[in-house]
Amino acid sequence: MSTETNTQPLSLVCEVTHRCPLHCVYCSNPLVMQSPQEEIDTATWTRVFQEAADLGIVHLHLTGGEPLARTDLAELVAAGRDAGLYINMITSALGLTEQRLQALVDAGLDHIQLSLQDADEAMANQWAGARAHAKKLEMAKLIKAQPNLAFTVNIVVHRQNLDRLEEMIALAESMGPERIEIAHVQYYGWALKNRDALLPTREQVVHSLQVLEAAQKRLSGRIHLQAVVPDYYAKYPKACVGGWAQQLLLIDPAGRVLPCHSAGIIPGMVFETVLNRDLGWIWRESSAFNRFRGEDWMQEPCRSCDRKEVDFGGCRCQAMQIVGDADATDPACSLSPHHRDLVHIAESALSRPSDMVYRILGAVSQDSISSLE
Amino acid sequence: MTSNSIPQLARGCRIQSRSEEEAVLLIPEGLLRLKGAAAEILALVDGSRTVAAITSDLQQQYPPEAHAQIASEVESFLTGLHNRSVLLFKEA
Repeated sequence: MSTETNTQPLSLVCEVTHRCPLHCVYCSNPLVMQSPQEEIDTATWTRVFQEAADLGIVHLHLTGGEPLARTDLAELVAAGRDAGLYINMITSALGLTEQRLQALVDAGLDHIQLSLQDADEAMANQWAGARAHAKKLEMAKLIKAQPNLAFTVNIVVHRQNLDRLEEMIALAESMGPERIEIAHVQYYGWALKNRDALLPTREQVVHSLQVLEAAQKRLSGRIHLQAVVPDYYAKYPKACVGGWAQQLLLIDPAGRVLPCHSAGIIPGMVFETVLNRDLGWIWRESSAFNRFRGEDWMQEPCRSCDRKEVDFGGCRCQAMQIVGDADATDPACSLSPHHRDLVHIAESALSRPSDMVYRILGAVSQDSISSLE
Repeated sequence: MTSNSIPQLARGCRIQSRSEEEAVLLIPEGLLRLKGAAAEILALVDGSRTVAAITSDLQQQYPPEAHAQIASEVESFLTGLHNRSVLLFKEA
């Protein structure tokens, strides 16, 4: 295992809080979240942003939870800009006001990503577990009017809304962004609990690709539309986080530094915190970042595969979840000996009705359950 | 895009110098290292020059045999950025 790296990270994802007014059925944050008391303070984040810039990081992504739940968010934005970073905020817009938006822009916010759950208000509120949809549309008007702020609408899709993709794209278009991103639910964290109710059918996915292609043509030159295909139906796995410890670091609300946001499910992982260590040391030297860096850990069929520098063996967390071995080839890969297990999961998920469980901070089991089918 | 179109950077896209030698174009989904032709073209994107003006300004700095290539590079570079929503065009 190497303890040195020549790679330079480009992105820092900061989950500045796990507090969130939404209770999305597809939340991919870990099952056990951190409490507000554990959140690191403004001064620590400010130091970390400078360490990130010193490491060569360019993009800072402020996310959560809902980043607006932090009252010092504008200070964090300003600290990031002072360090020379490009500042992106990923938000539900709950907690946003005209004044607050202006304060964030004045502090140097470059880009805002607003999530959209559905084209239909009642449905959108159902997937979010909160009355959020109308507020989002209202806030989108304010965001659209900002002359120096890039605006992306993220549409999160799954079996329950994928048939309305065309309407969702039209709604997103009317909100006035430069970019629309279609993201299939990723089955980690809480979302894994609801996989049986959320996994789309193959027919839905095939149809959605036609809708996407038509929309891309129609919007060309006006709105950049990009889509992430669901890997359960892919031929090859996703190049998860651009390769383990190759491009990205993630810091959770308590300051733990992870190579990806669900890495905590892999047994034996030890995560350093920014309270004790410099970010550069963590990137270069920590055991968690070196665990799957490079190719030495790979098994067959990855080891001899000519795609190993394309997708890096796929997702370590998915290998852990489905195969029970974090060193295995991602079972989303059609070359994986466990690929049929994933296909079986998809088929059986579609064969039975299922309930959805809504995410509530602190509650890991026995949440409110709502029947959908 | 026509020769009379005036390109300008879209909101949330900005140029930042990283060192004396290197500048980057920061955009929501990443960055573009500005070297060679990319740097020369983008330096002329100021919200007032047309595509035609940018092309001829660059052509004046090079011998005539390079002019056709410069015109095609300007067009493909600006179109590429426009397709990624990094550059907007207004008409003169």
